[in-house]
Amino acid sequence: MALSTITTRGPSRPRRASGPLKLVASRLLFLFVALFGVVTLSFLLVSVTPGDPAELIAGPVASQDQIDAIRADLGLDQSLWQQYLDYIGGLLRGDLGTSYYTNLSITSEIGNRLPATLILIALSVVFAAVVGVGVGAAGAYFRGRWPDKVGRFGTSLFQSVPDFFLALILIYVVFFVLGLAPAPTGQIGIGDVRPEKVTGFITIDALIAGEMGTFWSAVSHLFLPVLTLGLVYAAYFAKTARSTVGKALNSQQAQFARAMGLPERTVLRYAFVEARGTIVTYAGVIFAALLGGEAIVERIFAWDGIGTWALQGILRLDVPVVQGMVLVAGAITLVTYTLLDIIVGLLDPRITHG
Amino acid sequence: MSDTVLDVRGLTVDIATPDGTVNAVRGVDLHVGRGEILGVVGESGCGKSTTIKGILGLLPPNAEVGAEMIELDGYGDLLATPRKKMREVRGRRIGFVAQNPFGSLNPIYSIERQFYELQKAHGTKVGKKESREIAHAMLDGVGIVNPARVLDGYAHQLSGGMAQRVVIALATTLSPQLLIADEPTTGLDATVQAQIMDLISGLVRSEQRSMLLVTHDLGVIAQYAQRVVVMLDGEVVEHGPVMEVMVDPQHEYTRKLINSVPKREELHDVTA
Repeated sequence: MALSTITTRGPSRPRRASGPLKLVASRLLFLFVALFGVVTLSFLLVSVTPGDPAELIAGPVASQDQIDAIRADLGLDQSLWQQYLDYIGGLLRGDLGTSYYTNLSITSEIGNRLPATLILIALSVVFAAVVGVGVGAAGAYFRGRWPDKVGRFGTSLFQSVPDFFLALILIYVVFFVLGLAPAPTGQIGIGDVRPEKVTGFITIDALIAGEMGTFWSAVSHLFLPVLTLGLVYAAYFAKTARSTVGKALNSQQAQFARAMGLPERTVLRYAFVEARGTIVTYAGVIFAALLGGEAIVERIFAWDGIGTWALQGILRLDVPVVQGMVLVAGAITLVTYTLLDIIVGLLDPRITHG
Repeated sequence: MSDTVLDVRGLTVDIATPDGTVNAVRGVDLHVGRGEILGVVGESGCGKSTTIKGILGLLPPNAEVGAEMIELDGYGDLLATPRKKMREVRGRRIGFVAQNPFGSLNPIYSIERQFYELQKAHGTKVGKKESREIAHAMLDGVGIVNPARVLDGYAHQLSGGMAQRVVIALATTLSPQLLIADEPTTGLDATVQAQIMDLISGLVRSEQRSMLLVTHDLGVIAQYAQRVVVMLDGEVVEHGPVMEVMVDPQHEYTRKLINSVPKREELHDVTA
């Protein structure tokens, strides 16, 4: 065999060159179609909701004329099809209507509250993933020995404690008894001045404005809610990591790696590489589920995020608020899942995309 | 250099289970000469695989390995070698080929990367480019037609026979003097089986290497091994040159094992 052929690559190289582009394109097309479905669903929410929004807004003592006026004002007297077109038109202009109760624009409400929720759940998922995967992988590696026993005890403990209860305990211990965390007054302390809105993320805005006091206050106010959600969901990550990494460590592949003399850290890395697709998928699913799913924790920490806002909207039958929440949660979930598909596809060469 | 590459005497493996200790291997003696293929034959669960894992130090912590000696020529006593040092023996002094090549290869990393990881693990100071050249030559040596393409690809893109050739190339990259093959052809097509066996035995003969060939297939033993060890319930019940054992088995179990191989006349009966 001539040495020169060593670096020449075969004419038909395995996929990877055009694979990712094709994958991204096909997922984005799917995303677009699915988003349209979410928009339609959130619109239909009004017509399937029992009761007449106009009567609800007008209150029990309003005359029929007043109700009719409100109905006309909301466009509810038009055909469903016309209403749908108006809704889509408004959406394209970034107009999602106004709340029945506060008369505030839904778009600006979401713009104000979504960053608070996003930073909270993003940090919680990262915390949960790092702690959970660490504990789970240690448990898998030292199966049956003390790190595994301690990890499993912690996992069952935090899995069986509801998040709102853990939140109360943490507030009592860390804030009230130890005084290590600030009072649960939302994103910043009562005395702090909210920095001028640029991105909507208080930490970033405080940095932009150069108000370091507010920045550190915002960081310290994140501590307890992130710890609460992070600990609860770390338990789920630990369980998944323990089983997937454990399976990979017991596989014939790990045995062959050891038989070739690869060091234990490489064997562990091989196991991680095999398990990472599952763990990344898990992180995405938990992120999407937390969006709105953490409303009760937001409530406890007086966090003015989108979860509390949506919860209030649901309790008051404030249809535009619920609609807005369905739209945002649906869109973010879809985007998350699309990113997941792309990332997992890039991480695992066995996944091919036709 | 002595003529015996591996000398194992009185090997025992006791595995602690919740129901008590299992004596999986009970005093096995075997030795492999230079340039020799020693066949180890026996039914599943007789302790064949446990024996080789014991020699390689690959058993889980709940298994206790004991022996009078496990002497590897040019290295020393493997039993006295600490667990960490055993890593340097595996891959570099003893190559290992398992059954089911798809289970052996890493599914996520490219084949090229797996060759490089092997070099890195043994501190050979071989760079990525050089590792690729070595891997290319190794794949060429095991009869892979387009090595460059295989190196860029992944395990799942290979056929069973090709994947096992890659495994053999990996196992022999660092030129170990001894090769241990655990059912290397189980699960492969019959025609591929013969090719793989020809390949392994050719590699052993051409380089004056030695091989411990573990299988339940007497036909493979008869064709490729010079001596054979018959195992039953964790013990060696018979050993000797292949022709002697096949023609004149001394132990009742060996006789049964030989008789269990379908005869030509019986096959005719089935087809007729």
